[in-house]
Amino acid sequence: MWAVALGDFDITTGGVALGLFTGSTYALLAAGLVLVYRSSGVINFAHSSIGLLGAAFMSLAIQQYGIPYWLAFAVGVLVSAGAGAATEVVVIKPLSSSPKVIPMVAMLGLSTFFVVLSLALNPDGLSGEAFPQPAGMPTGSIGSLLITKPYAAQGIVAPLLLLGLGVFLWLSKTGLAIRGAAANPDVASMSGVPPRTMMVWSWALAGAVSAVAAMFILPTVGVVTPEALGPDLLLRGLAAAAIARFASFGVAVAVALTIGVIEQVMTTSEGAKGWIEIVILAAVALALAAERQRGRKAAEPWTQVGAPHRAPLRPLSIVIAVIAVAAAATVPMYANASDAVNATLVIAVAIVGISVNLVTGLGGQLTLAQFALGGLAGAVSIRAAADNVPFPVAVVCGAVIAGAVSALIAIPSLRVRGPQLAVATLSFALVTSAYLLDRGWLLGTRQSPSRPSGSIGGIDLASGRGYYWVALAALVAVLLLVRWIRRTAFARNVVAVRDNEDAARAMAVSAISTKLQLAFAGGLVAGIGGAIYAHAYTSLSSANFPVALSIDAVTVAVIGGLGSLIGPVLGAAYLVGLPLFLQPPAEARAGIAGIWLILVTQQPRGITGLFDAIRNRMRPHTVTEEAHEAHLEREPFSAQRPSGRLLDVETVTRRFGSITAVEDASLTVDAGEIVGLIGPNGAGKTTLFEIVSGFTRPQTGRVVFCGRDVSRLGPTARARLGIARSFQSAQLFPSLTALETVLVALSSSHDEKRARQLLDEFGIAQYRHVQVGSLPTGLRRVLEMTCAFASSPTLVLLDEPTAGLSSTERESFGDSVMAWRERTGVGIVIIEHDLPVLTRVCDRLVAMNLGRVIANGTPAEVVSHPDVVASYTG
Amino acid sequence: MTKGPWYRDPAQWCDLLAIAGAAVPLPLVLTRIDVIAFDADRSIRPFLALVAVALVIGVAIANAVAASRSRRIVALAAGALAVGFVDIGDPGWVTLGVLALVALSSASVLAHAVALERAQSQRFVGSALSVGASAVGVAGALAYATWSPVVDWGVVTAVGGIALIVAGALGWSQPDSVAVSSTFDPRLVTREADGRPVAEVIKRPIGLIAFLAVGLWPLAATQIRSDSVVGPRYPLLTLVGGALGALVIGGLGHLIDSRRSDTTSRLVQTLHATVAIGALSALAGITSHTLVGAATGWGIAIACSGAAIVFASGIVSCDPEPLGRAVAVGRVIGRALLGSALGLVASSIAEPRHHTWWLTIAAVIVLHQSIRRLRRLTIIDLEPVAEPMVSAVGSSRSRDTALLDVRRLDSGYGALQVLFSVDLAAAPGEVVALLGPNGAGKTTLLRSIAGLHPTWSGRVQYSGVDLAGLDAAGRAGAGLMLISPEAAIARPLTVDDNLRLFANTLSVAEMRAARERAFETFPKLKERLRQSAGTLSGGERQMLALARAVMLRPRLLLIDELTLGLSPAAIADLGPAIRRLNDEGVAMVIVEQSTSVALSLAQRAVCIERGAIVADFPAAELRAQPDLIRAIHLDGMSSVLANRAAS
Repeated sequence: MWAVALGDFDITTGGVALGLFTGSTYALLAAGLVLVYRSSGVINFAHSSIGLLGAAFMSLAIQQYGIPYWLAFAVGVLVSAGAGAATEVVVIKPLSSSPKVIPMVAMLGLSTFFVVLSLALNPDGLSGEAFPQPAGMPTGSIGSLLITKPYAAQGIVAPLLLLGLGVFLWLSKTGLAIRGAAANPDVASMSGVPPRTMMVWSWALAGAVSAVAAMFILPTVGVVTPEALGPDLLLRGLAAAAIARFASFGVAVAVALTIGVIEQVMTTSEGAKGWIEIVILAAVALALAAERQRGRKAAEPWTQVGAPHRAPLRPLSIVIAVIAVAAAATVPMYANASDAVNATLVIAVAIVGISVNLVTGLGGQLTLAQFALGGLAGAVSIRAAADNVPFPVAVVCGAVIAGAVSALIAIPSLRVRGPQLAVATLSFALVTSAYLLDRGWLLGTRQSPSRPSGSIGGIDLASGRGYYWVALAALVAVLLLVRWIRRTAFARNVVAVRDNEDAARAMAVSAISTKLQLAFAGGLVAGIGGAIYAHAYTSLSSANFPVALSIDAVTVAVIGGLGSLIGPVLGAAYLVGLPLFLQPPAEARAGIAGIWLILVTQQPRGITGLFDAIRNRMRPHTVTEEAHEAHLEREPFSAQRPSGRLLDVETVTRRFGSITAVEDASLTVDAGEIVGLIGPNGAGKTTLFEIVSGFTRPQTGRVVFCGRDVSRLGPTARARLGIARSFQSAQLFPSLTALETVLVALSSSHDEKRARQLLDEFGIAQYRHVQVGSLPTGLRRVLEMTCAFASSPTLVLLDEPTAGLSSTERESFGDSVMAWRERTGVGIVIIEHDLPVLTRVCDRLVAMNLGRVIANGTPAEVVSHPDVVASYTG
Repeated sequence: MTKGPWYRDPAQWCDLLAIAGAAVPLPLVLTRIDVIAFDADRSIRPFLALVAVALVIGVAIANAVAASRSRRIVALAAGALAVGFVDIGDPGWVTLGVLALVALSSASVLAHAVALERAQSQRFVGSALSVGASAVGVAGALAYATWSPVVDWGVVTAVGGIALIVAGALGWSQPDSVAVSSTFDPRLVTREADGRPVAEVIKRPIGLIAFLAVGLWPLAATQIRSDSVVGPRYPLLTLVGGALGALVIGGLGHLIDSRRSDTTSRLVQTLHATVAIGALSALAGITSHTLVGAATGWGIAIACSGAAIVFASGIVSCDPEPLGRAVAVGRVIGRALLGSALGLVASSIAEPRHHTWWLTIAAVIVLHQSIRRLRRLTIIDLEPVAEPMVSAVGSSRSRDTALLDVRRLDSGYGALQVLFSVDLAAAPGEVVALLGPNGAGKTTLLRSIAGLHPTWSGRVQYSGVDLAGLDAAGRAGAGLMLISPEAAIARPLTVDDNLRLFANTLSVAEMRAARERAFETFPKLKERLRQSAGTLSGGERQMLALARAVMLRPRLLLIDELTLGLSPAAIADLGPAIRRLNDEGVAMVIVEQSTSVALSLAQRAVCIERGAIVADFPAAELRAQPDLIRAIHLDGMSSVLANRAAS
């Protein structure tokens, strides 16, 4: 037995052992999360509540029916496995074609659903004392620490199960099939293993594992709240899984054990409440910062959620909006004080929901910390108001600080694409409610917020009813603010980055600063909502800002419609308003959650999506409204005509693992020259493009552009210098319209006239209000070329610009390329397989094979070069 | 499609029996619904109720997910168990009805599954099983009705059964089954040569008759019972509800008609909107706690279920194969009934505790999910196939000798069509080289054949069996396998794990032998067993990919770009392995960047350009014409051939 004192903490054998015991249950949770993530690419936020459902069944079976412990244990595990499988079939599968954020939000809702269901099923049997203790477990003590039955079970059964899970996954056929299907569904299919079924298996297995964790953790916790059953229980496992990047079971288990030990050590000091959350947050943030971006991600189907469009404001909309606000403003006239306060809370949640719509709907990043940010803003605002700062100024102070913090926590996840931001923000939310808000310089133990003075129509603004007007005014202000934001070039860039980050960077949009600005704007709006929320209470503590509220804010946004402005207001009215005003029983609450789950699986655009369907029926298509408009004048180019050598790629080599994609390749392009790059598949043509445009760094050699070595610059910087490129996939930004896409490419403020002119010159002016996602391939290629030429570049790289085009379209493609060269004197490099087109258009051809340049010269020379012919015919 | 009166076609009878068999228990449950919903004394302990519901959900999910027979048997057992649980709480007759219902629908699904999965020669057994199961169901229900002590169930059952048969018959009695489908697809009507607007003429009458027919039996049933329990208002209200439902559905049909362009989605949408309305009405009715509400709700629900049957028949009658129709009908009805059963069980059990809310929601979700799967189950082939379809079992056909027979295949991505009416055949043991420039659609074609990419229309036949209902894993199990850059190896797994994954479906002894074969062909793999597959060199990766074929010995191997980016030395390692596979009788379709490699392996060369097949040569003939080989990638095969023809 040994013990070490470290500051306030005592590290003892017993403590470490106990930490390892609890850690092994966290490891079970983490393993389940990794399993599910690897098979579906979704973070299962309902993971712990699925386990809870099984635990509730077990407890019920033992307490009401006297079934022996281990038999009931099996029943509980089976129930959770079934619930897991059902989740996959009922929720995940139908949402498999949505952006990954949607199923994850659905999981958040499902989590609430399962928790409420478990509590309804077994209202008394879930708290620590009442929950059945594992039978047949030894008890004893290590040092001074008493090891009770549940801890013994954590220490004995959990590791055994973990081992069993490992053996199953690595040695059994089904386990291998599960891993294989997760690694490559096509290969699994081709080996006779149906990947769909294996996915269901993964979920069932994860559910079973989670049930075991819940059954051993529940007897050790005291009072049970939905909070403790949901996010708290999940976070430990989630953090371990996130630090393991949802990839490695081994790392996840090791981290989970470490978290268990640290947590146990922390409990030895009185003053360390909330420290474990800080440690976890720090670890998650560090893991995120250390992660390297691997590979290129396919664009997600964001068109389902949509983007804001600058449809002209119609008089009818204005009338409706004015009437709605006026009607809402009459509430204090007849409502009693408590209803008015409830309505105020709904408004506050709606404002926070609007901030989610900015960050998640517009930016595509799932954030779970918006209400925590609101809590910070609220605390700051209360403090400021207490120091006699005028109310609006206090609110703005809080909001700005929330915005800054929001940008700060976004930093670790800037370079990483994927769901990791969700984990980071969730841990931040937990830190905020468990630690940060309790600090004396924020809320401390309790605060009594002040409210603005003055009165309207005899109703004091400081009263519950009068304050409603303040909240309503804030809501209107936020709606106007967000409406304005959504119409700026900034919002367009945000959507561009969300839809296709690479294409955006190639158009000189800086992804990092866009994301930071968005995080700031989101934090700002959330801060306003949080401040309004805080001042609505007469007495306030950190308990008023539970993590569940941050999750609710996301749910509110999704129910209302992620892409819409007004959606969160409707969502808040449904999700927060209904329970507040109707006070329904627990079963009906589960029903409320169930209904919105159906809504989200069926209509990813939420309530406003339902309205859109009706509105679209009423309004005829406006695609060709201005088609007959007079042709716009062609403006001469202000940019200087480039001259001399534009590009000099000097013996670059790029290897990916054991494969050499490009080897000692050199390429030069002069001003006004069109160079065709040909070669069989896998010859390294596209990799060479990536090297020139800055998406890939060569291992040797350098890239000189206009006499300047640009080898160390990123794609955005090179785009600003004048290198424009198109992509083989021609995805562009599916949820932007053609006009907006060109505006992104122009990247110079609101030059709409110029954009229209460009569209007109390329002959696609009549499609300017059509979403790119619904354009046929041919038009999308033309649009992509329009974008490439839009920013007046000096060098244009076109990757398979005629793939998917008809033969007439190919002809006109050649004509317009040559016309542009004549007018602007740019250098153009084209990767193309259609040799007849290339030989007509190009001054020079460069042929590659197996990463090397094998021929360089006039089209006729290159096409008949024996090496070139051999490279094609083998 | 069979000409002549519908009753001459045994398959139609099979369909009808399947409908009737699956539908008969429905009245048993529905006519007791007032008792179920309003009997305040019933109190089943919530635990049992939830277990039962969970199990029924399990059955539904198992049915929806199951790809194999064994799993369906498990589902069946679970269904029986579920009913057993309910029975603990309520030993009444209702549960017996539910038992029959669940068991029957599961049995019919099981039988159809057998029919679907068996090879053509064995399909007859499947059909017989299906008919048998249905017949047993009808007989059982009738027997039960005859000896039931409660009320005059015989009449109830008879009326219900007859009404449903009428509804089903309406879907089939029209020549070529066009009538019902034409209600929803004008294109089918115009295809009827004379161009008469059949749809307009028959649309409303058929719908109305069907609704009335289905609405009649509860009327009759409750008439009998009106004196005792609920009084005379109930039947009237049900009828009103039915009429209301008919109106709603009619309007809905018009709405969907005007909005949707493609047939499948329109029909499926109509169907599941109908079912959703039905379920929601029932829900509203139950939760209203009033007689009026319940009667109206159930009236609408009943009308909806009748309409759903008609719609479903409209969907499946587009399938040229009678058996395909039968399968789809069986599944639709099985699932629809399962959904209703679930809703009923849920609501009846839960009512005393006011759990109705979420239980019924769960029922609606499951039901909806089940119906959704129709998209995958139905094959709508609007274009007539060139040769007359032969519906009889086991008949000989000229192209039966082909191992692979692709007809008029269209496919693409989103709005972009990539393949245009592609025909491709391969004889057993034959190696076909598929040649063409980049972007011609070679990869899409291979993936479509392997089942990894959805086809838009057309047929893929493999040793005489249409593969439409079989997923990629099933096709691989049947010996049709693809090796492509995407479907080559599982990179994060070790070489050893990859080999074990390939052999996942084999027994231990078979696996050992298969591994030995792989090591014998590629000794290098044995040295790399513990290495992660992603870290292998390019050549070794392809060896590993090819090892799958060596281990599993498919009958038809599709190879896409095996030598892409490989050094000549690595290519030289792979060639002999492919030849050896071919010597063992494996037929192949090969896509190769390197034309000479492809031609050195193939007996026949098929050239594809911009998604269409443009030429078909013996490989030797193509080898002798370098200008044609050059044309594949450089000049364009179709233009060169056109020039030749001109000169």
